[in-house]
Amino acid sequence: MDKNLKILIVDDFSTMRRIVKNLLHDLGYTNTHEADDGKTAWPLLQSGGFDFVVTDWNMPGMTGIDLLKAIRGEPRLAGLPVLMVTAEAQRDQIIEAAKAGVNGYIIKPFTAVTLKEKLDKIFQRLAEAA
Amino acid sequence: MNAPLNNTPGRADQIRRLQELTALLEAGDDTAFEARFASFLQARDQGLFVSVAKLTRSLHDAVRELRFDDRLSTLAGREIPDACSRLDYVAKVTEQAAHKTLDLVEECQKLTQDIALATHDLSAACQRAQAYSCSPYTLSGLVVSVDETRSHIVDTTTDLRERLSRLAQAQEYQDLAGQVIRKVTQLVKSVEGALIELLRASGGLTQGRAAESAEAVLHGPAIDGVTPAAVSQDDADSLLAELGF
Repeated sequence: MDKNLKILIVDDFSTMRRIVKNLLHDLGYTNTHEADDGKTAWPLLQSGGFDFVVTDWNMPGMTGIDLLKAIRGEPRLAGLPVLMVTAEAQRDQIIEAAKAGVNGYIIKPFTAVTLKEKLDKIFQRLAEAA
Repeated sequence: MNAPLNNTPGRADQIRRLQELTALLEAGDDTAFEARFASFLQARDQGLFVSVAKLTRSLHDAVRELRFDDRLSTLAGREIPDACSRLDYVAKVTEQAAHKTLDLVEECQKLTQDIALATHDLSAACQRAQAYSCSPYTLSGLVVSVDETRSHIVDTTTDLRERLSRLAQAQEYQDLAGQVIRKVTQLVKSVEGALIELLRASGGLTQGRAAESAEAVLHGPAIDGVTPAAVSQDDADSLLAELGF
C-alpha cells in the first residue's frame, strides 16, 4: 500500500487525533492532516487531494455520520474511503454507518492491532474492487 | 374560605327562602315544605361542589406545574444516578490509564538502563582493542562481542519504541472521559434550569414551562448499567460482515 496516502483525521478531542496520528505514523503513514469536526473537515476534503478519512462520530458542529453522508453525496468525493473510529457502540449505529457507506468501524477504546487490521482490510477490498 | 361561592343564592334570597319555609311550616303544608327545603339544600350543596371543583383544579394545575411533565422525577430518579455511574466510569478509566502509563514509564526506564549498560560495554571493548594492539585473534573476539552488543541495543530500542507507542495510546482515556464529563455537564445544566423554574413557579414569577431538554441521541462510551447494551469490536465486525462488509 502507498504509504504516502494523504489521510485526514477528524476528531474533536486533540488527544485522540494525536493518538490516531501516532499509530498511523508507526504503521508508516506519515502524510496525515487533522480537523476537529465535520464542519472543518468538509472544506479541506473539498479542496481535494485526500485519499483516506479517519473520523469520530460524536462531534459538535457536524458529526462524523453527517460528514460520511456528505462525502457519499458529493460525486467528486463519493469514492473516498472512510474509517469510523468512535465510542458509539450501539448495534443500530453500526447499521446506520454501514448504510451510509462506511468502509470500516472501530469502537473506542481500540488497539494498534485493530487499526492495522481495519486499514489492511479496507485497502485489500479497494484493491480487489479496482 | 375566601373564594365567593358562585351560584349560591344571595343573602336576601336566602332570607326570602327561609321565610317561605317558615310560612309553609306554620301553615302545616308539610309536602310543600319538604320539597322547598330539599331544593334549598341542593342549591347550597351545588355551590360548594363548584367551589371544591375549582380548588381541585387549581391544585392539580399547581402540582402539574411543579412536576414539569415528570422532568424533575426523571432527573432525580434516573439521570442523577446515571451521572454518578458515568463519573465512576471517568474515575475508573483515568485510574487505569494512570497505572498503564506508570507501568510503561517504568519499563522504558529499565530499557534505557539496558542501553546505557550496552554502550558502556562498547566503550570497554574499544579500550580493550586499543590496549591489545589488535592481534587478529583478540580482534575477532572483540568484533563478535561488539556485534552482540549492537544487536542488543537495536532490540532494546525497538522495545522502547513499542512501549512509547503504547504510552501515547494510553492517553485515549482523555477522549472517553471527556465525552462522559460533557454529558454530565449537560445534566448539571438541566438540573440548574429545572431548579430555577421551580423557584420561579413557587414564587409565582412565571407560569412558564420548562423547555424540553434536548435528549442526546448519541450514547458515547459504553458504560455498564447506563448506556443501552453496547457491542464489542468483534460483534461490530460480525455485524458488518452480515451486512456485506
